[in-house]
Amino acid sequence: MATCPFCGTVTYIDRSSALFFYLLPFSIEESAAKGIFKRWTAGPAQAKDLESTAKITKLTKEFFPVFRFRRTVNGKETVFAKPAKGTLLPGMQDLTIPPGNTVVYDAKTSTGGAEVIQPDITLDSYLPELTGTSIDQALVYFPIYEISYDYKGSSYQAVIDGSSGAVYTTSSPTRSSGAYVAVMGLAFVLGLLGGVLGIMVNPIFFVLIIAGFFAGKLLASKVVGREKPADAGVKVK
Amino acid sequence: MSEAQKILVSMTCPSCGGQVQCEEGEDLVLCKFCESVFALTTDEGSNKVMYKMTVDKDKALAKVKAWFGTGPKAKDLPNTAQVTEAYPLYLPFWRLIARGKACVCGIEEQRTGKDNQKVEIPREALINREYIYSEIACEAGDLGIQSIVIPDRAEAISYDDQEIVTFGVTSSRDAAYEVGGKAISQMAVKDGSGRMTKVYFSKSFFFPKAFTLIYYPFWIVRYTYEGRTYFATVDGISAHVVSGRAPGNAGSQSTSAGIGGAVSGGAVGLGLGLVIATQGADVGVGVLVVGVVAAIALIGYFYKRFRYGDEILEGALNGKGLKSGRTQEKVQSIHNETYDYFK
Repeated sequence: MATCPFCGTVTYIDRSSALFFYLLPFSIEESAAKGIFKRWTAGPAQAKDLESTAKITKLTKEFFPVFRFRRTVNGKETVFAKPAKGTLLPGMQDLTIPPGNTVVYDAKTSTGGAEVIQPDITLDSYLPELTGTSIDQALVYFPIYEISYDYKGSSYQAVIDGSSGAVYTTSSPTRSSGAYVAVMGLAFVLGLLGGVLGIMVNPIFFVLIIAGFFAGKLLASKVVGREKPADAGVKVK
Repeated sequence: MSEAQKILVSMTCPSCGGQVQCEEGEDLVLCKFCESVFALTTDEGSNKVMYKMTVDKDKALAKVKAWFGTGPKAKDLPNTAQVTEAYPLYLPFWRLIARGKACVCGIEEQRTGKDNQKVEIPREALINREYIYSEIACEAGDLGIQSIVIPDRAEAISYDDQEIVTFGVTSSRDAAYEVGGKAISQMAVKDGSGRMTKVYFSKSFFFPKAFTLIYYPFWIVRYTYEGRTYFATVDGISAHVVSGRAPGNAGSQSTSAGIGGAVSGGAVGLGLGLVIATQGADVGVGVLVVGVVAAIALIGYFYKRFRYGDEILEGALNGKGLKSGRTQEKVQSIHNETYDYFK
């Protein structure tokens, strides 16, 4: 229901067939987005030298369009999200609308210099496949940072959710667990030898357990130690 | 948890104008002044309640700085981290209060007598408790918050989405209600089967008392360390750090590798040595078995700290990294509303 502030007329709005436009403003500034990307490159799953070697070649601030359908299916409210634009961007396939301070999107809405990606899929194309009856439907623009980066001659992509800071990627340079297993394995073998020989030959061999600890710690520090990048920030071409 | 965690709303009696208080989940309210009874109805099956932020920015920052020094985080984090921004926001949560009932039948295995003989004792439990289920009503994204516990001192205020940034609801009310009811039913069965080794029969259901949309305050604090941006989330009422990302401690990672490898190897080696030295005597085999079990546990624990300790994750955060702290469970039971029966 909407009440006119001038004449007081109360009007019933049938939301089921109208399309509302919403936008989630950016909560994360560009510098913070770069910092989040840098934090992600230093993560345990990423290649050890990714943080020091990766070079951002493109960083775009944009709003990505998604249709949100609220429908009654078998007497229960169900929410569907469908892409309003075909994309191969990482993270856009699962189409979860990120958390955000939803505002009405119209001509007066400030986009803060971000590019608003226009839909290329119409609402009608989804209606036949949706079950239940409509409660409301909306086109939601959500904020993303699209990042392209180079690593050892190959190009990769990442997307950062501009409201919560979540990082989405498809493929990225990863780190093998081999070195970690090898280090702990070496310490284990030394400890094992120390235990067996200490019991069977001479207690002096128990010192191998301590040697295993120090050898493991020393080698582990080489594995986890990271190369400091030349500058504190992520290199941008 | 106390009863006070339920929301109390002050209302004016429509008959005499006296102040009456109704509690979350009540359908009927009695006015203590004129003894009128009136029914409460809600719109679309859920109320909307907002809680007042009582933690100021300085306190939130102080809590985050104290948090820097806890757990296996980088040693120099308290001295080198730079807070870049701190802002308050409200997050929406679905909250279901329901009575969970369950009948659970099974057996409890016990060892008795000199022979340590195994006996099976039939057990029956009838659970009748109140539970609170809460779940974030939007995608959590990278905030690491899934659920809340409302402190006793929390003050409910009228909903106002203009004052502070308020994240919108994007999940389905009905889906949350269904999932919450199922979780409460499952928790009732879990509570009933606590003493049982095997469960042969269980039946559970829930009686809903209240379903509320809660807007709860948090502080989001973002900080940088070596040019990387991390964050922490502070509860806007209790001032606890509920989630966050932080750089790990490389020294602690290396030590974990050394301890995990050498000590577990030593434990197995001792057992193996004893087995060989005693030519397979029971004592040797016993020490070997204990050593192997201890080694598996040690390797599992320390390998995680070594392999994923580059980044520390607190709260319900996804991704690689070392999980630290505890994550708030979605279902909590109200113990003073319990009428259980165990046999």
